[in-house]
Amino acid sequence: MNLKSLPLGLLGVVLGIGGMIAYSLRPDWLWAVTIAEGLALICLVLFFVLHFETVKAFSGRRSTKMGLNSFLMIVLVSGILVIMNFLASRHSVRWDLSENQNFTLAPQTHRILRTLARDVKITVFTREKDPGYQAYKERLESYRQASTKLTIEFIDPEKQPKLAQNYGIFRTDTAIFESNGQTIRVTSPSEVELTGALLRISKDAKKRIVFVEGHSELSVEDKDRNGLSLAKEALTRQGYEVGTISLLKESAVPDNTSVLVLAGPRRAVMKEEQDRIQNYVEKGGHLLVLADPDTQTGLESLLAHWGLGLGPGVLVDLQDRLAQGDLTALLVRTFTEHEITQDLTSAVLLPLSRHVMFDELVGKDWDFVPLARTSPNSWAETNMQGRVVSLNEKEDVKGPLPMAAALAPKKAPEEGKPRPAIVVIGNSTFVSNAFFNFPGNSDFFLHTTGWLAEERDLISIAPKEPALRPFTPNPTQERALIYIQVVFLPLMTFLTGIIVWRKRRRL
Amino acid sequence: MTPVQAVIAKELRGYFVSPIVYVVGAVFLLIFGLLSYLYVGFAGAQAIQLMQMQGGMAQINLNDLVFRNLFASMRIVLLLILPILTMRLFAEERKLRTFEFLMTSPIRINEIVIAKFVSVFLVYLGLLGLTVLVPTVLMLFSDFDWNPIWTGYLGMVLLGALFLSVGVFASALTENQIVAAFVSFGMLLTIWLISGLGSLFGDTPAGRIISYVSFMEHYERLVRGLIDTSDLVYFGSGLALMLFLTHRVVESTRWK
Repeated sequence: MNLKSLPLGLLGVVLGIGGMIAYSLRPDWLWAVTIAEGLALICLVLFFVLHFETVKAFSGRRSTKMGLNSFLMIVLVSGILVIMNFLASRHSVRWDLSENQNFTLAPQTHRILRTLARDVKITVFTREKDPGYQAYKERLESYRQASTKLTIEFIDPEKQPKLAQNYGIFRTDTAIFESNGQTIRVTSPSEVELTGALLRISKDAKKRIVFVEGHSELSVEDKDRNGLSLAKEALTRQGYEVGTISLLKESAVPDNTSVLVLAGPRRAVMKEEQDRIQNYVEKGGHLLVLADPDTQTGLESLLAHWGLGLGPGVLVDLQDRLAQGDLTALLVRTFTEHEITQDLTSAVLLPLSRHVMFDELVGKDWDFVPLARTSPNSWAETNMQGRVVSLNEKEDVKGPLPMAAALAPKKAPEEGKPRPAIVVIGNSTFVSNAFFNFPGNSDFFLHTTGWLAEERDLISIAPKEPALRPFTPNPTQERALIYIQVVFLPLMTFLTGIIVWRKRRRL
Repeated sequence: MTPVQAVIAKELRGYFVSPIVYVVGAVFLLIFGLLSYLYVGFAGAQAIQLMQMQGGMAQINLNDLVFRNLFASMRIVLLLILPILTMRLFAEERKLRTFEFLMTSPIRINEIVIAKFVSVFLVYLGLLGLTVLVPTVLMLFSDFDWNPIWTGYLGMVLLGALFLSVGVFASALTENQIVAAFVSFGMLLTIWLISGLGSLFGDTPAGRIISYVSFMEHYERLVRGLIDTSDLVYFGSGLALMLFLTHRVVESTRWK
């Protein structure tokens, strides 16, 4: 080998590498880098021309050929493995064996993701050490797998403060949903929140649920036990707008009202108000009446238009009731097959309710479906004086009795006209804050409003129950754990080792 | 007996007559037992705290508080211990000059590589099998879900196989066992740290590719109870690549 030209080759290599490093440090000095790389190329070309014979001999050697062959094979195998991994990560199949099915989305979420009409961008502001990080990551990964319309980005608000400021982020673990110019903020990685946000963002016009006020009804603003603030929150999360109306002040129910709710009136509803409600229903409106026993709602004449009636007395059930509660605390498990009840999995707790009646002659144009019934061991008690209650055949009404019913016209409405619907439930307290978190109650209420608002896909997702199985060992258990786990196993292995070693030494 | 079986039998004999496997095994079992015992202790205290903090909505069970932590901690234990099991496989043969015999024997190189890997893998599986005693004992006193534990064990099996294949490769590179152990330790630590690099890049395509290369997220999913085919492919292809590289290195001695 001609050593004289060796510096030329070295210079070429140094210039080449130096140019690349310089470019990575100062990309703006492109001219200098170009000159360095050009000189490196000239040096190396000259070097190879001067050493053409040596290079030829080297490339002809067996080891070079084998080495090159080996190198190519490694590149080929790596390439195949990369492609395999790429395909596998794009089309993976999952089996969720985790205790709480952490990686499995509810069927409702899947349905919403399948029918997602437009692209949604989700930006999550969270840091790895934040409590919600892992949950956001896992859950949104499942969402991304289920729909191609989602773009998900994780941003550390400390590293990109400007972006966080632009979005107005003042706390981490916040997700921003964006679509079609709308933005929705979510602060919890729970599936209920995420799917709710997805649903709201993918719809332009929001459905309005309006609660009538003025008759001492339960109030959506009230945060006490008797308030409806939890129900309002749940409805808002489902993508509805919740409002109130006084029918004495307004001359008619506004046209944009999707569902009109009478949530347990305690004072009589005036004649004018009833007319306005009736007008609203006749134009295709959706009405939800919650009426408690022993209240004079004055709704009788209104409901009688459709053949409906509110039964006298209080429902008493010997069988379907709360274990520690008295006979009037109903725990209803018997549902009729209907869109509202088909996905109900838990019982509905109705404290103190009345039954719903239907006159088939008056309501012959309507389809009456009793949604939930008491057990055969039940009746409507008309005389609640005294503690002992028993069925009085003369005065009481023998069960099973429906305490909730849905009403829809038998005939389909004219083309383009909305179809009216009414649901009557003989109890209002089941929606109040004190009882709303009972899983069956919130499901039943949200399914009902969903059916009335004709939002077939808006159905609640039950939050996953955390697995609560605490274990604190007692002293005996603790000692047993130490002996077996910490002492016995390692010691046995170690002793076996010593025996083997001694045996070998003796051989 | 096929040539592969013969080599496996020979290697296993080598393992069980040397004290190394017993010492390594005893240390491995001691750490596994001690960690699980400590986590059970912590779990009791943590449960009370969590219930107060999150109003009873917390996940308080042995799966989350004990086994998930235990499997997560075992990563570092495997990283430290498995290179010691693999370091002698090829390095010793080179040192004792028996490598030439092996190379000139009628056994093919891929059979040698596979047999060596399988033998050390069997030893590892034996150790893992002994650790099942720990959840079995806990089962006597408390109640938990076995499914995530089995996926955790699957994670340990796959991660161990990957670590062992890296160790086999490192052992083929040198005739010094200590160097082999350090090389495999260094390689494993690098693959581990790559996940940190990936999270620096965040949720960008580059960040996702870099994180994918590290075994961290793949192993974590298994420990959390999710079997994802892409994770299985990851471990399988990592194993295949390392054994293929070992094959190339061993074969290169023929023409170098």
